[in-house]
Parts: sequence; C-alpha cells; structure tokens
Amino acid sequence: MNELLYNSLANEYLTFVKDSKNIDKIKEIRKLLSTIENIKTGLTEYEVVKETGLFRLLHYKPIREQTYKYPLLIVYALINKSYIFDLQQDKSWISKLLEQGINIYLLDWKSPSKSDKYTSIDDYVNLFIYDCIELIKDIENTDQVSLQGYCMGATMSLMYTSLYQKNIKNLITIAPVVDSEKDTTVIKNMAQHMDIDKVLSYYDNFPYELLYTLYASLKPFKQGVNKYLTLFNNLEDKSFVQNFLRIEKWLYDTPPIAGETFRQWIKDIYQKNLFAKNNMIVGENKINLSKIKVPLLNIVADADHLVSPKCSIALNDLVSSTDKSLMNFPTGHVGLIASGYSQKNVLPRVGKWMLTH
Amino acid sequence: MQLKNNDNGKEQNNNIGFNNVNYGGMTDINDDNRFKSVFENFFKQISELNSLTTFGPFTSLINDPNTNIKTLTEHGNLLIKYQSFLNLYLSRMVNAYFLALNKVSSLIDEKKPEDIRKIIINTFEDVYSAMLESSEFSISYNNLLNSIIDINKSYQKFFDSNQIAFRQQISKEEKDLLFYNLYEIKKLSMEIKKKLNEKKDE
Repeated sequence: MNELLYNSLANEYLTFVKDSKNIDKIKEIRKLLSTIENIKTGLTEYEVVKETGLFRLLHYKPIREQTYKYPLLIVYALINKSYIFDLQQDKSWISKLLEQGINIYLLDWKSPSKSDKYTSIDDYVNLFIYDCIELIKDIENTDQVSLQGYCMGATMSLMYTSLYQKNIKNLITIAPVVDSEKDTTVIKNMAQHMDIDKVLSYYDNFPYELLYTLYASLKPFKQGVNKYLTLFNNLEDKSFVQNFLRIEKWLYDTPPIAGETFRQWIKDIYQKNLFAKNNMIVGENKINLSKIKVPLLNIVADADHLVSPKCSIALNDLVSSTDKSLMNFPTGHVGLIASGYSQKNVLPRVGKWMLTH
Repeated sequence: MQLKNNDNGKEQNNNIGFNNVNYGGMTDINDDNRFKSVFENFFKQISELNSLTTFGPFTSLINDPNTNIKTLTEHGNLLIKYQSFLNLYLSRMVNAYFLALNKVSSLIDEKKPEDIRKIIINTFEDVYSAMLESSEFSISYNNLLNSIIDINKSYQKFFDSNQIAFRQQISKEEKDLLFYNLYEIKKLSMEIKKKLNEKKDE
C-alpha cells in the first residue's frame, strides 16, 4: 500500500470515528438489519386458489374492470421468493398490471423439504404448471391463458409451452435462461465446473448457503459493499431505507432448490446447453423450442448480471412464432421487474403488448 | 505432494496420504517395523477377543478396529487434500487483493476522499470480477467445495459405522429410499389425476 493511500484511509477512519453521529448511525443500521424479518412485502390483496406442499396458486383481486379477455399466469423462478413482484405499492409488477385491467394469477413456489429432493423439472412443468393452468381454465371458463415467466420461471414456461401449446394464448419471457453458451455471468462460470452429482450425494436439496456464495460473487463491491455505504448516507430518508430493507429482505430470503431439479438444471442447461440445442428431455418428451408458434414477447435487461442478455435474446431465433418481439431495457435483472424504472418504462409496454395479442 | 491436471482440466492432488508423509527423519525403518508389529499384535488379539461370543455387548463396542483405523487414515488424507485446495483458493483471493491494492495505489494521486472511495470500489470490483469470471477460479472453488463434501461424507460414514447410538438412526441410504418412495406415491397420484382430467376433456 503506498503512503498516499495509507494516509487517505487513515484520515477517513479518524474523521469517521471522531464524529459520534457516525457511530450512532452504524448502530441504527445494525438494528434495522436485525429486524428485517418484520418488513412487510406483498401488500396487494389475493386469494389462495390452491396450495400443495410445493406451490401456491394465488389469484389477485381485480381493482378495475377487466380489459383483457384471457387470464394471465405468472410463473416465478425457483430462486428467492415471488413477492419481488409485489415488493411495495409503487414498485409492484402485479399492481401495475392490475391497473391495466389484467386478471392475474401467480404461481408461488414453496420451499422444498428434504423429502422433496426427488422433485424434478418434469414435475414442475408437467404436473405443477400443468395443474395450475388446467385449474385457471376451469375457473375462468376459457381454453387459453396468457403465460408469463421470470428467469428460471421463464425457462420452465417455455418448456410448458413447447408441450401444451394449445393452452397458451401468448407467452411473455422475462430474462429467460436459454442459450447458456452465450452466458458470460459468474453463475454460469461457477456452474460450468460444478460436480453437481457430488454435491447432491451429500445434500438432499441444493442448499441455500451455496446459493448465497454464488450471489456474493455477483458484483461483490459495487453492490455488496457500495449498497451499505449508500444506506449509511441516506439513513435519514425513510422512504429510501424502507425500499432498501425490502430488497435486502428479498435478497436473503432464499429457499433451497429441489435436488433432482437442480441436477438437471446444472447439467442439461448450464453444462451441456441441451435446452437451446432442443435436446433436453423433460419427463417423456424432448423439449423442442422450434415447436413454439404462439405470439412471444421476450424481455431482456441490458445490465443483467445473473443471465447474460445474449443468453436470453437467443430465444427469438429458436422459436417458430411469426409474431415475436424483443424488448430490451437499460436496467438490471431485478430492476427489470421491481423498480421505479420498470413501472414507468417496462410495464406500460408489457400491458400494451398483451392487449394487442 | 504434487498437483496435477486430470483430463477435465481439474486440479487433482495425487500422492497424498499418511504413507507418504515424511516425518523429518525422526523415525527409522526399525522403529516403523516395531510400531507396526505392536499394532498388528494388538489388533490380532482384539480380533480373537471379538470371536468369543461370551464377551457379549463388549464385542459391538470394539467391532473391527482395523476398519476404523482405515477409515481414519482415509479421513486424514481427505483433510490434507482439503488443506491444499483451501491454500490454492486463498492464494487466488489474496493475489487479487494485492493486485487491486497496487492498482488503487497507482490511480489515486492527490484526489478527494470521495473520489478515492470510488476508485477503491471500482478497482476492487474489476479485479475480483475478472477473477470470479475465470475458469481457473471456478475449478479452484469447485475443488474446494468437493473436498469439503468428501470430508463431511467421511464423518458421516465413520459415525454410521461406529456409534451404537447412530446405528439406531436411519442411514442416509434408508432415508433416501423412503423419500424416493414418498415422491413416487405423490407423483403417481398427480399423474392419475392428470390422466383423469385429460379423459374428462376428451
């Protein structure tokens, strides 16, 4: 360390500790973070239509007259919890779509227990998503639903659509994991050399502790360190603090992932890229993306550091839909769905696309 | 101890084990042989005692000491392997730290504290991200993870085979079989429901 840097850091430290207000602020931050469990999220009113050991199907209460004929099913990812779609009123993906007159159902995955370790992608696609769509069709007395998936949920929605196309009016994929050979993220890099068989020979499900180590590798300083500096500087702004805590709560609310599901995910999608090569077997069927002909809207974040934009964009060349659109936005993986930017720029365009498809 | 690359490009630690540990010339061959023969005699006697059915519960407590020694030796080898992977992992982290620090030192000049803070965060981000995105780091991390799993499995194996209390508990294999049967039952019932629905729709 050169003298200039050493002096600069020493001065900063001394100036910081001299001011007792700074120490109080640190104590305040510690207190806030220790009570993060109490932060309320998911305030939009809903009814639980169905609940099993592994999922809940939620139906959101309409807030205006329905303008779109088909019900929308949102399939969330298996990572963290689905309340990111309804984090707070002014950043709620759900609320903004309800405001546009869309009838929304949400597939909310529950945390798998040890005895769910054999639950596979086949179960998620051919039983759970299938079951929910059949139920929605019955309730709404319709033959088709609009399907929307986020991240892993988008990939599973693509699998479902390729198998049961007649049930789908249109498909919206948000940051889908598709062509992993084009993925340059740290997650892909770590997955590439993972001996998933060995990991699952000891753990029943893929443990949340290992998922944390992956997240901690994503922008470790710009997000990992800098966000706490920003919190420190904005501690008197109540609205900022509440927003920060909600996101922070979500970031650390990580369930494990069912063992067999994650085994196939790592091997077939990240290591062998079978999904993009139309060679992935789910249950008794080979998933063939070129079978998809329904209208497709693919939404991608330019600054996504969890799924590389190119990995998602590849989808538009793999499906056979004649009506396909790609929307890309200058934001990140989470900013795409839960931010002020998303409310102003993403959701109005998504709603508009739905109404015309 | 030597680190070599296997066919998959993974770093593997070969020739490690208690048999290869050099004790710094403190023992000679005669001492080794004497030590070995004392233990062999001891195990032989224990094995003979074990064969006496009249010993009753005592037998189960000292059951097969040779197996236990073998398990512990294997466990020691795993710990050595873990240490070498941990060293590699930590050396990558430490190298990145010093590289970032040198870069920061060359960039700061006479700047304001806020600018220096920004330079530190950006430089550390760049250096660490480059490391985390490299396949060398991924291999190193996954080797370390695998060796931790091997150690945990070795503990499990030792306890499963030795402690009376643990023998009362269900083993991992038995538990997995139960979970699998449970899963099959659940899946079957959902598939029957699905088929019934499909028939209804027809």
